[in-house]
Amino acid sequence: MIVMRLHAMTEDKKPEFSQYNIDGKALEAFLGPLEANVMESIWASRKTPVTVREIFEALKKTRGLAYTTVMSTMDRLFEKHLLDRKIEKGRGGLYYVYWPSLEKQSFQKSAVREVLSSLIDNFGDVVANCLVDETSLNEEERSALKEQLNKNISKKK
Amino acid sequence: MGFEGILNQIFQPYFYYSVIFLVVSFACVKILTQSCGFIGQRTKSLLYLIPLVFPIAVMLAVFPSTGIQTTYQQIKAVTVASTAGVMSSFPFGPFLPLPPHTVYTLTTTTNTVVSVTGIMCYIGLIAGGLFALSMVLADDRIARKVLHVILLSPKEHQWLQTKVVESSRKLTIAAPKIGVVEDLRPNAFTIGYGRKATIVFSIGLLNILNKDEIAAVASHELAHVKNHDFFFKVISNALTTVSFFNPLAYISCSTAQREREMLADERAVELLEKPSALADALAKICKAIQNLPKESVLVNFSSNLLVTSSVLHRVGILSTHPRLDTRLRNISTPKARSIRWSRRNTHIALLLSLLLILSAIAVSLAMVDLQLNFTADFKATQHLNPFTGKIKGMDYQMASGNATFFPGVFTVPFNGTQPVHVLVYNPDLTASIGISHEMGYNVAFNTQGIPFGEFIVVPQQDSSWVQMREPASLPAPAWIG
Repeated sequence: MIVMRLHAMTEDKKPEFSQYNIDGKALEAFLGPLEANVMESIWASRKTPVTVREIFEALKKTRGLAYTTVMSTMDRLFEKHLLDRKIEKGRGGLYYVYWPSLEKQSFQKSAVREVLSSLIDNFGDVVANCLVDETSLNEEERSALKEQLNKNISKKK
Repeated sequence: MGFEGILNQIFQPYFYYSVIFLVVSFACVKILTQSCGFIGQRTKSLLYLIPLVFPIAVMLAVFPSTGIQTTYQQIKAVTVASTAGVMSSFPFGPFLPLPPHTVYTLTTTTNTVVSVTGIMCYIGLIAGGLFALSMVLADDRIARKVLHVILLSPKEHQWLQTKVVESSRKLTIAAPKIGVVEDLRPNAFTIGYGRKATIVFSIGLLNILNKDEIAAVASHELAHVKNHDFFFKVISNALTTVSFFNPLAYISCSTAQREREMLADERAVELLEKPSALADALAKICKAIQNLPKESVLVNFSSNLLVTSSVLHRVGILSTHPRLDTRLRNISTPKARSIRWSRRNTHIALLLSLLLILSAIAVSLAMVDLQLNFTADFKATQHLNPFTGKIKGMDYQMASGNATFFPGVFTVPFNGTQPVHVLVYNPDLTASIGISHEMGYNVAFNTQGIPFGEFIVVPQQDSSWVQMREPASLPAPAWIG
């Protein structure tokens, strides 16, 4: 497994993507497997905000997770600003309720942007060339696009 | 419902006795436990159940009724032309018809009113029984579900699970399950009993206490399991439900439960390697909950029914937990624990309890006697005054229009000029009253015809006859009223 460390976001309350996992599928590219499971489960939940117990019960059916594991994972996601939380008073006393700080689409967009930004910062024109190579354009169109992209990336730098 | 109606409701024996016995016995137990320092927590908690047992015993002895019968008697004066129609009923002759005269009629009306106190007693009995039954039969899974308890998997908090197993072995009980609740307030409690018991810790408690302190709290909860406090709580709550209308029942119940807490503290300290850890834990918990919002009384009450012991507690006289300083003093004073029960102390305590309970019964009976006298006076005044204005230890009843005269002297207006000699039949045999003039003829009345004159009623012993004579002709026997 190749793990790339990305820049930690220092700005307050902005989601923090601390790693990129090339082998990871979907969200697991940006998050640990447990974190990805929890985030997926929270996004899939009809009820917002959710408690740790609710996510634990949802995940217990598919994965044999312990409650304290889910609790510490959600706590970590809160630390990374991927989840927000507040204390709520209910029948069971005082407890934390969590909700995602970003919708799934926004999260993916934000994460991909972070990774791309990091790649461009480090590798610049290589990134542009690679992106263009992935397209289905003909050779002529590719050359034009590469030139345009390299110019813009250089400008940005 | 007027004042008389309210008194009538209150003085129903099943209600009156159940309240008065509880009050008096609670006072006795309080005095006993306060004055006898050597009585241990276990005995104290059992003593505080005695006041709660009295009402149920009373209700089983004098079963509550949903209706109260009230009897009203009225005297009506009716002028009748003649009594010729009833003359033939009198066995002695010759008969003469009476001239037109006034007949005084006693009419008895029986009303049945709903017994509010009786219904309250029924509600208490049914609710108490159902509560006890449901708690004993309820599956521990239901309680866990209601309280949102999550059972720990074998891999979670392994050190705590090992500790609980070790302590359970020391206490010779089956190791209970361990669960957590999401509550951020520090709390721990036990649900279920025996092999079904589950010790539950709140996340708040696991966050603020260190391992020793958590183990101390676990020992306290294990002590509850060992002491069968689940059953104690179910019984005390069920008995309180029976007397739900009596505020003192709640106080007695919570006092009993506080004693169980102290007992569990004592037992927990004996289990711990670091006895001070329990005191530290209690102090930390109390400090933490001071800064947290309190639960509503209803939520607290409902969840309190399901759990054997909750570290979180109500404050004040209804608290099921002792004050922190009392608990700390209890577990940090070896002297208090070193006083062990001797056979002699047990006998003294039992004797004192017996004396106090007997005196409570005596006081109650004296009060009931006072109440009965009040009722008797009330009845006699109501019934006899219109006739006599003079009562001397006598009473009579009216049943189906027949009069029953008991020994006594009474005076009624006499409008005749001749002396009279009156014979009164035993009303069990006949409904007639005979009046005999000395002039040699008899006049018969039915019970509607009240004889006029001043009479002495003389029961004929060993006979079903009763004689009524003028006072001058027959002095009243010494034994009459």
